[in-house]
Amino acid sequence: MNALDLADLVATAHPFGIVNVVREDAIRPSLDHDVVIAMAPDAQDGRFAVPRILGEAP
Amino acid sequence: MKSAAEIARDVQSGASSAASELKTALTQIHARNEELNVFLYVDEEGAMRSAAAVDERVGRGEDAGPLAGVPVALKDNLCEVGIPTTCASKILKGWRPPYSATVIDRLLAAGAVPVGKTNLDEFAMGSSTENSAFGPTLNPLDTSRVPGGSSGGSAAAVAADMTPVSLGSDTGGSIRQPAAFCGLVGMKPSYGLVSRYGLIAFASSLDQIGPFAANVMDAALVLEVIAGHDPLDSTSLAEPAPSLASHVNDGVAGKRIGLVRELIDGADEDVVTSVERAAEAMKEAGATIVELSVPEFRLGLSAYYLIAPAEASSNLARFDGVRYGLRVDGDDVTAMMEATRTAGFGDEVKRRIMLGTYALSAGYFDAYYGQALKVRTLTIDAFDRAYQQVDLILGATTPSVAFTFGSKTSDPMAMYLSDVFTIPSNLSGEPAISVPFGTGEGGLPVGVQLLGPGRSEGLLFAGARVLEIADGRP
Repeated sequence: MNALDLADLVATAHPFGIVNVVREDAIRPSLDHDVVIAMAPDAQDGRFAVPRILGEAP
Repeated sequence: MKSAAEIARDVQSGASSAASELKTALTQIHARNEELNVFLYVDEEGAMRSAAAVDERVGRGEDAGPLAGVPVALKDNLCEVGIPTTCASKILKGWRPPYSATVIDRLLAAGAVPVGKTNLDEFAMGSSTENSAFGPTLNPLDTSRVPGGSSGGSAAAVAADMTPVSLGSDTGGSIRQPAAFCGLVGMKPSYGLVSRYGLIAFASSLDQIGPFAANVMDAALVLEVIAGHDPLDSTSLAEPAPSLASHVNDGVAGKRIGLVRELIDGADEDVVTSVERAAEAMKEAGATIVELSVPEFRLGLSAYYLIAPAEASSNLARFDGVRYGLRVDGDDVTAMMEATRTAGFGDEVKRRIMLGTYALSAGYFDAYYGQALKVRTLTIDAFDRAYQQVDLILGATTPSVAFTFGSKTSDPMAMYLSDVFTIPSNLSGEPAISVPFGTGEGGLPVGVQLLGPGRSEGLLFAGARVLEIADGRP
């Protein structure tokens, strides 16, 4: 593949070349917060909980 | 076994009921699932509720839908609300999605009865179902052989008469290759024809959901139900679902069909013979056969194994032990994510994440991923030129009939090569169908492949039907 001269070709990101799709900026229902949090391996006060993200202070 | 079309007709007329058709399916699943490892989860309660709802609609004199009472198996990378969805990976073990894929909602609305989730290569990465974290699925036609992959469970469900139809997903051949290995019809639709909402992403610009069936008409009926625009998938084509079942018996008289050398060369002799006989059958049905060479198809495999892993490495970053699925504890968040992903992903998934991350890394992007995207353009241009000369392309689906367990697991390149004939259509986003035609080594089925330009599904079904009749399945 590296032996090919592809300088004149445009890269394909989408096979049918569709353009950006935007929806109206309107509020619509989304997944229930409690249901989503219930799937997490660990949660605290309605938020995803993870181990510490910063190292020890020097 | 009754076809999906026969079941729907009998359920709607009252000659049968959705409940009794479900019972037939569950009896067969109970009889063979332990041996074949087809289903990772059987949702008996949910299926009984869906079947009862269909029977109530019929009882009220309503139209229960084109798939009334038809049991359907679903590849386990399709989210179904409240039902365990694993992608055959330990990293999602026990997870129950909070929403359903659009295709499942559409199946239910059409009266179909989803019965459970089928085995696959982990995250759809593989060609034999040997990469499942829950053990391989056996080919119902010869249990010493693989059913193909990655949608091996969905193919085996139909081949073992558990359900008349099923859904799979096809990123590089994952519907067509198992269809060929199990003697079934399998179609990868045009990219965007079927909504990917609720399909757990492997390579988003290549993935498409499609049907498996024992015959062409059933495949067309299922695709007609699941196709059509979906606002929840921004890559979904903004057009209504095409009429497909009405085109199945259109024939191919007057059509030009290209026999492409690159989709035959390198295949075993039994496969080549089937493709040549299929070309003869097309000719007898009134088509003209044109021999073609499309050398660009040979580049497909290299481009695919850069593009697909690159997209996968990005898509699979979400499995990090924070929001869902497995978590393995660690002292800090980095250690936790590393431990989770090390324990949760299998070897092939790790291999592709590493390949993809490398192809996307600074300094290598242009040489690998960028170059592959341009080769994709080259492939699309080559298809366009071919379709100026012919209406459809004919070739092999796979280089061989179903291979034996373990014969390719130690050599990833040999496994990747089993997708060499199916990958070009994923790169171009165009539809292709595999249909059984003749038998090969060990009496096993051979699949031949028909490829067409974007949105030519109706013509592909018509061509596949011609081959089905010529192969003695009227």
